[in-house]
Amino acid sequence: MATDTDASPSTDAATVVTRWAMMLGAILIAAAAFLHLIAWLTLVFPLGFETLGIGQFGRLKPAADALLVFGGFYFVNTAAIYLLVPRLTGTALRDGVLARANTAWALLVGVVSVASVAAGFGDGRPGFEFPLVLDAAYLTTLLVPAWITVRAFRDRTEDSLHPSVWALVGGLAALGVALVVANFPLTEATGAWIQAAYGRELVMWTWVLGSMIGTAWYVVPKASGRPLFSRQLAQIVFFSMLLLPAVAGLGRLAFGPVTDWAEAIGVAFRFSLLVPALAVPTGILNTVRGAEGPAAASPSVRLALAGSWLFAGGGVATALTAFPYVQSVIGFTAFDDGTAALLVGAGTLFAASFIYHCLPQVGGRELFSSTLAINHMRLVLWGSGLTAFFLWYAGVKAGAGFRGGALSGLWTAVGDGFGEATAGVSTLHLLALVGMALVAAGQVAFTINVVRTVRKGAST
Amino acid sequence: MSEYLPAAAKNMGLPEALVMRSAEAKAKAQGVTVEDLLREWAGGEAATPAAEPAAAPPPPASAESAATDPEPPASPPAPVVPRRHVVARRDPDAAPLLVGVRQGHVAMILTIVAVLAVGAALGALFPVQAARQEVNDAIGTQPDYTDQAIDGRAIYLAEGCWTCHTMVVRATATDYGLGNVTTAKDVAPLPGETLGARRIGPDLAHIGARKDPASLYNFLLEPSSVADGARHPGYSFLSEDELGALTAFLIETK
Repeated sequence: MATDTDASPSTDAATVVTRWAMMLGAILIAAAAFLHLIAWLTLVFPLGFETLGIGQFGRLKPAADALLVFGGFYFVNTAAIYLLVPRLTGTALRDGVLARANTAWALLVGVVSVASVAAGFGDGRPGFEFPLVLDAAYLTTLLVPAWITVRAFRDRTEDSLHPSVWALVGGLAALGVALVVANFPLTEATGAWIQAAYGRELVMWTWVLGSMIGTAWYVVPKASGRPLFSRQLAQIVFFSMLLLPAVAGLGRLAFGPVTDWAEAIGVAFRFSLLVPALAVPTGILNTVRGAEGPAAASPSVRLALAGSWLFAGGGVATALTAFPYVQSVIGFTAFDDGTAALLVGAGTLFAASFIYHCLPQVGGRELFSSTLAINHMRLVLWGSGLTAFFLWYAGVKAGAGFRGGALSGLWTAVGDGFGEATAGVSTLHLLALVGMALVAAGQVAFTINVVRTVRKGAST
Repeated sequence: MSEYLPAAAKNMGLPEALVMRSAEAKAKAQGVTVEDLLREWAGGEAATPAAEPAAAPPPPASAESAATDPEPPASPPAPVVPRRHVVARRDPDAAPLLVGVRQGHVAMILTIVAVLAVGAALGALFPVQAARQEVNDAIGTQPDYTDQAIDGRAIYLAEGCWTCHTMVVRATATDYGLGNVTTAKDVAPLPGETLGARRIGPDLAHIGARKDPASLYNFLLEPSSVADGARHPGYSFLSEDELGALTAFLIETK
């Protein structure tokens, strides 16, 4: 474990903004994990403050999701852009002051936006609940990272482009497109349903996971001392995560009021998500294979590996739900929440892998505690797994209950029949809470490690 | 700190801390001193390994190679290109850890934009357009919501009712008994994303046909007063008008 020191971290604008973005990312990821836990807690144990409105699952769950995606991951991804894009293009971040101003602006917009959803001012677009004016404000927070990227390209001295750069630029562009398309005003419910499905999948798979996996293509070789296993495989992952999720969302709308051809391509693209789900662990595992000594056991490498396993699990589960018969049973149940738990867990582990590797460089201090980092990994890994298992079980149980009641004629899934169909599901939600609590504890460990690295880590 | 560090950092356009760390790593890998490396990066003479091993004599050419290639053309010396991006290496002869593709960034950006455009067209624009065409055919055939119900729809969205309830009956055995299967025409008068994605509570596509306004209003106000053991949260924090509007929206959803 590191010891206290009087050494000061580097203070130039570029490193300061990157360090701040990493810290904010870690803090908001932990806050989102807690908000998520509280949201599900209100479903199982009414906490008593539901009557205030702000304690309703319908407000807390969207607020928690927004805090994670548009808060925590925003700052981690922008930190990656500020650090890696200039570095991998052979330039330097020359707009540190602008980036600092944007970080403050993004924090303000993000906090106000999430608070507006929690306060009951959301516009009801799943995944994009911010009121339209705040969506527009949020869009402006992408301008500075985009400008820094463009400037890095303009000044670049490297004639090659690393896969991490592709992933980070693709993720940033995808978020911009998703914000515009998903918030485009439409007047009918089916169109809005399609918009939401499109936007949510693109944001989760391309902005959150795509960018974070992109950082892994940088971190894993650097931390393990082994060259990237396959640049072509990384490119396959990039293109599959840029295109497939945009259409895969339609696969969730099977049997609904969407045209048949749209459902069909949705099913095909959703199943194709197997490609990145299997390619990412293949790439990371084979990169690490052969690494020896402390490099192979470094927290960054282990977290990236753990993230790739969660990503594989979530990706395979997503692909399996492409089948219309499966969708007819588990559609509209908590099954998708279980899958999301794995994918979010993977995203946070990739994010932590990046931060644990790069924060000592920009902070000028060693990682506070490798042991804490490994414990963080274990908590998130087990917590995400448990959450996914019990929510999957709850989803299958509820779906089978709906289907069994309807086919046997014993009940229909409305009125009293709904209680019959979903009997026992609350218990599974309760068990899933254990997993969510482990994840929240893990994210607290992550935040402590990051903050103490910046403030107390030994000088490098 | 080396006297060459500021000049090297300025020359490379990187922070001094980063240049120093890169120099230390590269010096260790290449067997040169940090000072020599920084001097090279600052524009001075190239660093040479401290203990350069004696050059091994060239291996004797085999008879076969000598026969087929008696006088190999002398290859021109590789041009010396100053490296401005430090690439971490395991050792000087190992493959670089970070390998990119030699390509232009404009092509990269255009490729990303093109792929995102294809995804947006296939995943959102064309399906939405198809749904709109179906909806246009239904204009005038569906009853419109009252102004009060439209206000209630905004409350339904803002309170996140859609996080636990759907308003869509699918053409599948699982949804048998929930009422008529929902088509795009049916939900044409339902602006906004009211269809939902999760059934923690029952489907509400035809709730107006199952409930009377008074019991629904009372249920939303205080669920346990209508149904014992109801897990539904109460909405007593809404004003009387807001609750009335939400009830109107649900009752008019048939």
